[in-house]
This record gives sequence, C-alpha cells and structure tokens, in this order.
Amino acid sequence: MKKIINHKNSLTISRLLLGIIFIYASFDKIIDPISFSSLIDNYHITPYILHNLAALFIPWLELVVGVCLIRGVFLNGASFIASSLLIFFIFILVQAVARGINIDCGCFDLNSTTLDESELKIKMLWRIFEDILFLGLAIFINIGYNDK
Amino acid sequence: MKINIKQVYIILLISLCFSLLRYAFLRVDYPLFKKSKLDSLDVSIDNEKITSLESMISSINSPTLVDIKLAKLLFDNSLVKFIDARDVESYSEQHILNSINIPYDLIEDLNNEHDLSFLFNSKNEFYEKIIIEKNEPFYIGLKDNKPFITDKNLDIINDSQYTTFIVYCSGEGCSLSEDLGFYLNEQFSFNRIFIYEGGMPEWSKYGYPVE
Repeated sequence: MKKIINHKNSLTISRLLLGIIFIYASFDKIIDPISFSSLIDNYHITPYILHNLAALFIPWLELVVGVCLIRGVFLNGASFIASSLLIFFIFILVQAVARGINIDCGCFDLNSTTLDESELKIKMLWRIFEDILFLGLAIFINIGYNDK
Repeated sequence: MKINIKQVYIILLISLCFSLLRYAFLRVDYPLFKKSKLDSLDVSIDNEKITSLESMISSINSPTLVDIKLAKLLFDNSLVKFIDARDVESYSEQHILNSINIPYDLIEDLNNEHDLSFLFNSKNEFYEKIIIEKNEPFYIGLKDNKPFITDKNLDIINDSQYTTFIVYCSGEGCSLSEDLGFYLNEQFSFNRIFIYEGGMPEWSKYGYPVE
C-alpha cells in the first residue's frame, strides 16, 4: 500500500484526473448559477436563503480546486477541500435517494429534464458511486503528498 | 489525513473573489440571499399559524387584495369560499376547486329578483336559492349573523367556516372580481371579502387545484 501511495505516477495521474473532473463539473454551473440554484432547491436540505450564494460560490471552488490539483499547487488544501465537497455531495445525494426525491443532481450538467423518475434515480445512484470513487482519489492524493 | 489550514483559506479566498467577480458580471436579477418562493409554500402549517390566519381574517371589514400565497393558505385550510366572477362558459371550462360561480355580468338578475339586502339587514337567519340564468344554483343567506354562500349542500350553513370569500376572475386586467367584491360588500353586508387579482391564470400556472 505504501508503495502505491508513494508511486509518483499514480499520484500524478490521480490529481490530474480529479482536477479535470472538478473543472469539468464547474463549467455549466459557473455559466448558469440560476439553474444550479434551482437544482439545489430540489434537495430540500439546506437553508433556502443560502442557495443563491452556494450556487455562485461552489462552482468556483470546484474550479480553483481543480486548477490547483492539475497545477500541483496547494495540493494538501485542494485535496482536503475536494474530500469535504465530495463527502457533502455524497451526503445530500444519499439523503435525497433515501427520501425518494428523484431529481437531476446537477453534478455535471444542469439539464436532465428528459429523464423519467426511474432514470433519474439510477443516475443519482451512479453519481453516488462516482463520488465515492472520487473521494477515494482525493484522500489518496492528500495522504500521498503528505507522506512525501 | 493532514490539513494545511493556510492553503484551505487561500483556496477559499480565491474562489470567493472569483464568485464575487462573476456576480458583478451577472446581467440578471440574482439576489445573493434568495427570497422565499411563492409556489413553494408549505401547505402543512401549524395550529398557531391557522389561529393567526383566523384573527387576520376577522379583522377584515372591506374588500381587501390578496396575493396567491395567502389565497393558497386560506384555500388549504378551508377558511374561505372561492367565488368565480367570470361568465358561465369560462367557469364551466375550468375553475378553482370548490369555487362557486356568480357571473358579475349577470348580477342585475340577482339584484332584481332577490331583495337580499333587506334580508341581510333584517338580521334574521335565512337562506335563499339563487339561480342566475343557466348557471348552477347556489344558496345565499345569513346564519349566526354571518353571511354565507354555498353551492354544494346546505350543511355548510351549520358550519361557520365559509363566512369569508375570495373573489377572482381572469387575472390582471379583469375587474369583475373587484366589482363583484364591492357589490357583495355594499349591497349584502359581506364584510370579509378578499379580491384575488392573479385569478384563474395565475392559479392554474402554479398547478393549484382546479376542476
């Protein structure tokens, strides 16, 4: 395990991969914060008054974290924020699924209105699985670069 | 997992700066703190709120404007009777659930054939079956010194819940609801009258109950 963690290439690939994912995920939301704010409403978990603020801030945080991961700067802070964001995303997705709220998660694109209820649920479960994988990558990067 | 707090703060600060920059360039109305949505009104309100609604209603003594938020609250809690002031055809096509139809265009018939003013002013309990042309009949009367209108069954007069009315018509630009509201208030002593200006178009736009 120690060997894997210390393996320079796997760490580089991991941070590049996670960086690209974060940057890609931020684009639609940065362009259209209004739609993203409406998507946050659908989760019915966070204070409504803060949704516009969150819709404005979170995409930029994703973008900056993504750039840091790709550029290899502030790796400890970036991987920690990435982990925190992913834990939060997993939590809100799991609670939505548990409460039977099948919605467009707004994880990458902001428009999946053509999907029916069962497709949305499958998509949400898939996103949870993806986020768990990404969380693993973020933790791997954090531990890997701390050990160096 | 180790945390470099300084790095975290720097990243958060950079992101915040970009967010504010993006906000400055937004060309649409985008309040930083979101105002509550009209159509997201929680219909399951608690007893305390119902009490405050009832006390608010009891303070009304002339036709008062009401927005969709309050109209829906009153509807959900069965505190009012909706009156559709549009013509029979429009009402037949679609109307707010359980509303009754009193077309203001035909209101002269009501005035000519029923001396309700006299009955209301006499303070004695009564109920009168009203038929306006081809319209479904409705009942108007006085019970426990409270005026009522109903078209379903006369049991309603034993239940004082419908002593408040919301009059509506075809939305903005339509004055029938206002005319009927003031007519009922001035001619028949219906004090607790709300005018819902949004009317049928707004109600159906929000997907609220219709029939």
